[in-house]
Amino acid sequence: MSCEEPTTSPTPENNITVVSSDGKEFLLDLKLTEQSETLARLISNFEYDRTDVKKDPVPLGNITSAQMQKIIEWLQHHRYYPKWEQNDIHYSTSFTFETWVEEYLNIPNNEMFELLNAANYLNIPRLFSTICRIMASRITGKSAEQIRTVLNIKTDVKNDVYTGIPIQEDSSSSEDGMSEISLSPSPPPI
Amino acid sequence: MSSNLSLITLPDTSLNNVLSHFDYKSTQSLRKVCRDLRNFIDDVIPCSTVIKISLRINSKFIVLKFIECGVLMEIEYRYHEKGCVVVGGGKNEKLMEGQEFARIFWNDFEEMLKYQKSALEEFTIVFMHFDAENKLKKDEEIYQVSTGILELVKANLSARIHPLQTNFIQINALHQNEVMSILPFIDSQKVERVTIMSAKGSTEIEFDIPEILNLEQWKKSTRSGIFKNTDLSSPSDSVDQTIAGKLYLVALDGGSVVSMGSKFLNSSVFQFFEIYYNESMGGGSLTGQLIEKLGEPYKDGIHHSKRTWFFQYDGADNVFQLCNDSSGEKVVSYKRIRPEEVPDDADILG
Repeated sequence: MSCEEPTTSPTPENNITVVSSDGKEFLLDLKLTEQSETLARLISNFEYDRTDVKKDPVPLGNITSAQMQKIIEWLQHHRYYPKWEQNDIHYSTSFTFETWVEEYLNIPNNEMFELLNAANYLNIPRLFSTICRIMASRITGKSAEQIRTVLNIKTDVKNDVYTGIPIQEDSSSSEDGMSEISLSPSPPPI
Repeated sequence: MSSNLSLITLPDTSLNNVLSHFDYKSTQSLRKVCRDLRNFIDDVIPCSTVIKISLRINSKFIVLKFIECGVLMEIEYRYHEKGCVVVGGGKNEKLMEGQEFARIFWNDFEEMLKYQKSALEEFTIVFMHFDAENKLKKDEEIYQVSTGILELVKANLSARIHPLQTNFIQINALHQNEVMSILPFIDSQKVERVTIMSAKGSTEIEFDIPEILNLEQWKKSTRSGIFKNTDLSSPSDSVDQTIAGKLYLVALDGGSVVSMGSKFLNSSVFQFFEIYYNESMGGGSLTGQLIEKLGEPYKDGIHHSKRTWFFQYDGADNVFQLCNDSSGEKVVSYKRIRPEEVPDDADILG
């Protein structure tokens, strides 16, 4: 096992078959499934890790073949990583990512949202957390207008039915002022 | 792949996780993107990661500063004859016509307090009773702003289900009310340090010291002080400006106790100070060291572990009391007392 490469093809003894929503079958190494809490629990409950147990294909009705392909790519890259631990609060502010991760997640927003849902469904905490962080990193520090552009969201400010003038819902400056205020780059002590 | 997925259609777990990586300012920006996001954020109120907040208040402006993720953010709400000018980051100016600057400040600050669920490292409130830019001329109109703000702050802090938490709180003020509208409503379990300073430029000290010393926030803190504000251009030892204070030390020696005492004895503002310590440093017990330096103490016949020395203040009708209790919680206390409080059979040293 020591010379195992991340791309080693699974053999029938150490794998299970999963079926995507569009009916495509994927042979998945049991070692890879350890990263998915959903799959790991399923394998343990049905004793799929025993060689004498018949391994029925696992239907993943929420995941398309394209998403499954993308997820397998993630699982293989992180095959030898230590088990994911939830980091402390300081970690949450870190927006630095491995180059591989940045390239992996250089995908359109809707694909990213789908991948996030898939990561949530399969319970792959490292992938889930990374996507959340990368999404936050693309939005943080931007004004409402810039966020609308990044997320392709149209404003839903309603016009007054009588005057046609946009309704100001909240007059506080946190509505109008704060977002336009830029952060100073180097903080002096308070 | 085509889908109608967007940020707002994500499951709550996912959206919450994304929001948990946001700083306060970004959350506020996101809140303005669309109605659904605003409703979600208003429901969840994600915890802000602001660690320091500072407020400076006078009759013409309020400056709100906060530090989050190592970045300082500064917003000034200034009076303008046409309304309120909001200045952010020292550059972006915005006139809000017909708006009162204190109200606009409060709208922002109240919102900010809602998100402040974790403990702050520092919370500083400075009431600028004297105009620092105008030879410390008294700002007579500050009450028109500060009275209203204090009522709002007090109502807000006292109504919180989980009291505001901060490790260090500093209040620069002139009146007791300015301290008592804030300090008693801070979570006493988290306060480590309380600093109260007289407003810069003030000559009279108007605090009710015993009332402050009686607060749980003061009692639970380990390093606190009430100080007379000094002119920073003439640096002087902060001990000389100490009105009251407390300190916890691991070890204490007789020399330090005596030298600190002599500073308090030469200070015109000093009233009360106590030092809790675990063990004595130097040769022998602290009590022994003090007897060697100060002579025989007064013992009252009831508290056998309590040794007291009395000294006459120069040019004041007060007596300085130095007391050492070495049983239980070991403490050295200094206190300015009236001559009639000195027991009849005690000697007052020169």
